[in-house]
Amino acid sequence: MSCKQELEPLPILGNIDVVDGDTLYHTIPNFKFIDQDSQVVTNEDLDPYIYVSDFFFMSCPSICPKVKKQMLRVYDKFENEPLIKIVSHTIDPKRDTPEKLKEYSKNLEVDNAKWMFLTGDKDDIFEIAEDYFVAAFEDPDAPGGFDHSGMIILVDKSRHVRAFALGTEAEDVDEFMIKIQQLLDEYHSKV
Amino acid sequence: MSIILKSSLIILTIFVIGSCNPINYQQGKRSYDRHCASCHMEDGTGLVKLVPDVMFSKDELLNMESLPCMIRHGINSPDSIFQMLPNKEISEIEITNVINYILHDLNSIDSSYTLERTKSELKACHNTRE
Repeated sequence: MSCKQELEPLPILGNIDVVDGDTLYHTIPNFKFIDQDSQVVTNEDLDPYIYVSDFFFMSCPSICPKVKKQMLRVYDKFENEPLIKIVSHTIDPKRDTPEKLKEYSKNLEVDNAKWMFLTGDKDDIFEIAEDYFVAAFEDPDAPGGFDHSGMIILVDKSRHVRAFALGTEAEDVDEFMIKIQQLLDEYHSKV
Repeated sequence: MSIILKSSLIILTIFVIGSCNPINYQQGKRSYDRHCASCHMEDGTGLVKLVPDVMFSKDELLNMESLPCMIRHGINSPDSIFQMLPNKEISEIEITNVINYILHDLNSIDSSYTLERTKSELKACHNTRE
């Protein structure tokens, strides 16, 4: 007799289309960005991993440090879990060059291989933000010149969005981390 | 005067004195949450090496640059990628309340800033900057 509690699998978020009898889930499209070591990172590099993603910019005077503090909690909790990566996108590629992002990650004292800081073509970044359900746009009236939500997003190996949390709210992130563990367990039980 | 009346007066006095300071720090907390917490965090712990914490001892406090001046004019250190922005909008009373909140509630330091001290330190750093 099993005492293990059966959990509902995490839902696949976003629009669902049915084409020719096939169910098509919302999927993060192909991408090509540059990380803090000036290395090209594509969706294929992330295929073997599940990852937690956010959008920010270094000179952000509003919510970014708070979100980073919560991302750091996620990083600390799953630091030794090889299946997980953390992927932060800057929405200010003009100022946040790979060199600056490297400096940033150094001052955050995180492992470069585990936590990627991505930059690239501005339009590409803003476009993919929508696929992560993160609103990001330039706004001269917003603090720092950009407006964006502090959402953090969980993406599985099939590039489906499985959960998200408000990166400014510790309690929300507590629940989010339980969901990450649940997704991890799904993969571990398949092996 | 009856004992009951006397003791209720004493209780009332304790209540009034006791509630004065917390009200002050409550205002300081509100200003701190509004002006400081998005970078230094609500609990004052900062963000690793990107944002310094606001935790310090009484000794450290004595050797620090003027707190009102830091809050008003920010810190622009060329070797850091993170700048503390100046804040022209915060009033002298708010600065005083924020500092007392940081000292008392975040650091359990029992010294206080007065509005006069804030004003005179701001004047001093204003003069050196001119």
